[in-house]
Amino acid sequence: MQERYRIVTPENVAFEYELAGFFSRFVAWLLDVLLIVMLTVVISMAIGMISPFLGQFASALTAVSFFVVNWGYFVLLEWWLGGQSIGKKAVGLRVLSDDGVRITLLQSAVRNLFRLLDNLPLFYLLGGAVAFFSRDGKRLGDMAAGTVVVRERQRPVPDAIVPPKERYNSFIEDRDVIKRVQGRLGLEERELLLTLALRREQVPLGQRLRLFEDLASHLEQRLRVARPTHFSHEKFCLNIAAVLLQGTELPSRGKRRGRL
Amino acid sequence: MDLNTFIQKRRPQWKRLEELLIAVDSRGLRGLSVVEARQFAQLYRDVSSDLVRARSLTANPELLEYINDLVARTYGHIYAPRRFSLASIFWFFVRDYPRLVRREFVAIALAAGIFFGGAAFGAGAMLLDPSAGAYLLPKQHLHLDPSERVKQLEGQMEKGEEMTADQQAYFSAYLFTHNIQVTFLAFVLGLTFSVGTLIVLFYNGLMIGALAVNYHADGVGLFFWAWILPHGVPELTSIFIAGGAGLILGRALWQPGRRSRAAALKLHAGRAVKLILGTAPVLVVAGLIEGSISQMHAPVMPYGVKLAFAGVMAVCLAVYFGLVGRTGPGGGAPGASSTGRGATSAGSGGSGGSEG
Repeated sequence: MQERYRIVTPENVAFEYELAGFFSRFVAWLLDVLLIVMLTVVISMAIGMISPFLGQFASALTAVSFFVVNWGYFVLLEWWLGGQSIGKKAVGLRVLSDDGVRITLLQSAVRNLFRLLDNLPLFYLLGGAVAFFSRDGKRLGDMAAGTVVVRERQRPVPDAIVPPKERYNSFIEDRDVIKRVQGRLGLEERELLLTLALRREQVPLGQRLRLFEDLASHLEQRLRVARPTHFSHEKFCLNIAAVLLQGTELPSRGKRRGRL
Repeated sequence: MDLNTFIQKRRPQWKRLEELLIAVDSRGLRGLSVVEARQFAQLYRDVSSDLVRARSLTANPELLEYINDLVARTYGHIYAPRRFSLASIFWFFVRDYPRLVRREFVAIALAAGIFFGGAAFGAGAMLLDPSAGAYLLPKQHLHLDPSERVKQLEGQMEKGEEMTADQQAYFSAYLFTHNIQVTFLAFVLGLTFSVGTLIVLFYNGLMIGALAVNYHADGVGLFFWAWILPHGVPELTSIFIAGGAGLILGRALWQPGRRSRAAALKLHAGRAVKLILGTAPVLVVAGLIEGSISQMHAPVMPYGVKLAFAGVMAVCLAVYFGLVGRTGPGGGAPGASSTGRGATSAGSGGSGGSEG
C-alpha cells in the first residue's frame, strides 16, 4: 500500500494527499458508532417523553428512527459534510472521489451500503483485509463507489518560509557572525541545523528541548558566538539557521540567494 | 527567480487564499461575494502554478507540502459535483426512476426469472416428496399444518382478536426496515460476481414455492394467496429490482469490457444503487400493507377483497414503472444514461459562484 494518493488537475498540476491509515480510520469509525449509539439513546428517550401524545405509534416510530439513524448517519453526513462523518472530521480524515473532488450522494450511498459486506464477519475484518491489499487502502465500498479516504491536516504556515528579515534577528546584520557561520559550519552541521529547524514541530517537546540545547552549546563552541541570555536555545539555533539561509553573500552586497 | 524572492513575492497570495479557504470551508462557496469568488478562482490557478514552480526551486518538504495542501483544499471546492436539490428527488421519483427501471428491464426480468425458477424448484420438490418440507419450509411453519393455522387465525378474527394499531404499526415498521436491508444485501452481494444475489433470489423463491404447495395440498390455497399477495406484489417487485441491481454489479465484474474490473464496477455502481434507493418507498408501502391488511383474514376481511387489493396494487405498479416519465425531456431515448456527476468544470455546479 502506498502512502500517498496523487491527483492530476485538469490544469495538469499534480498534487498529493496522504492516505488515511487503518488505525485512524478505525478510531473515526469507533467515534461514529459511539455517536450513533448516543443518538439512538437520545431519540428513544425523546420518544418515550412524547409517547403519551403519540399514542399507539411510539414503538413503530422508534423502530423507524433507529433504522434511519443507523443508515442515514453515514450516508447523509458523509455527503452533506463534504466527505466527513463527525468521527472522520474529529480524526482529520476525508472521503474524496477518486478524482479528488467531493463525493456525490450516490457515492456516499454506495460506499456506506457496502458496510454490510465490509463489516463481515465483524469489526471490518473483510474490508480491512481488502484495504490492506488494495493499492490505495480501499475497502470494498470505496472500490464500488470510486472513493478514497485521505488524511487532511491543517498545516500551519511553516516557520521556515517566513522570510528571515521578518524576524527579530541581530545576527543577520552582523558580518562577523555571518562570516563564521558561512566559514566554519560543515555540510553535516548545516544539514542537522536546517533539518531540526524545519522538523521541530514534529519532535516531542522533551526531545525538542534537549536537542536544541545540545545543538546550541555545540554551535556556541564552534562559532564562538555567545548566546544572548534572553534567547532560548531554540531561538538561538533558529537565528543561526536564518543566517545560514539568507545566502552565501554578505548583506551589504545587496543580492540574496536563498537555499532553503 | 530565487527561492527567497519567490516566497516573499507569493506569500501574500497564499495567505489570502488561506483566508478565503477558511470562509469557504465553513460557509461554502455561496458565502463568498462575487469579487471574492473571482479572486478564489484566480488564486487557485496562481497557487497551482506556484506548486509547479516551487518543485523546481526547492526540495524543502515543509514548503512543498504547504503549497500542495493549499492546492488540494482549493481543488475540492473548485471542481465540485453538481449541487443536489430537493427538486431532483422529486424528478427522480416521478420521471427518472421509472425510466431507469425500464432501461434495466433485462437485468430485473432475469432476477425475477431466477426467483421463479427457485419457486418452481421448491414447488416441484414438495409435489414429488412432501417430506421435503422439513428442509424447504421456514421453521415457524413446521409445527402447524396450514389448515390448522388458517383455522386458528380465522378463529382469532371471529373473536375480534386482531392486532392492535400499535402492533400493526410496529410490525409494519419492522417489516419494511428489514426488507429495505434485504435489498441492500441483494445489491452488495452483486460483488460476489452475482453468486450471492443468485442465492438470495433462488432461496426466497424456493421457500415461497414450497409454501404455496404446502398450503394448496392442505386445501387452503385461497387463504395463502390472499395472505401473500397484497404485500407480496410490491415487495417482490422491489426484490426483483434489487436483484437486478446485484446482477448489474456482477455483470460489471464478469464483463468489464475494455475497462479494468474496478473501473467497470465504479461505472455501474451508481446506476445500481439508484435502483436500490428507489425501492425504499415501495417497500415502505409493502410493509404497511403486510403489517395491516395482510394480517386480517376472513371473516373480517374476505379473501376476494384481499386479492382484488393485490390486483389494484399490481396495476398501480405496472402504470408507475411502465408509463410514468415516458414523455418529457429525454423520455423517448433509451440508453440516454445520466451519470451521477455533473460536468466537473469550473464553470458549472458548485463553483457557479466563482463565475459571478
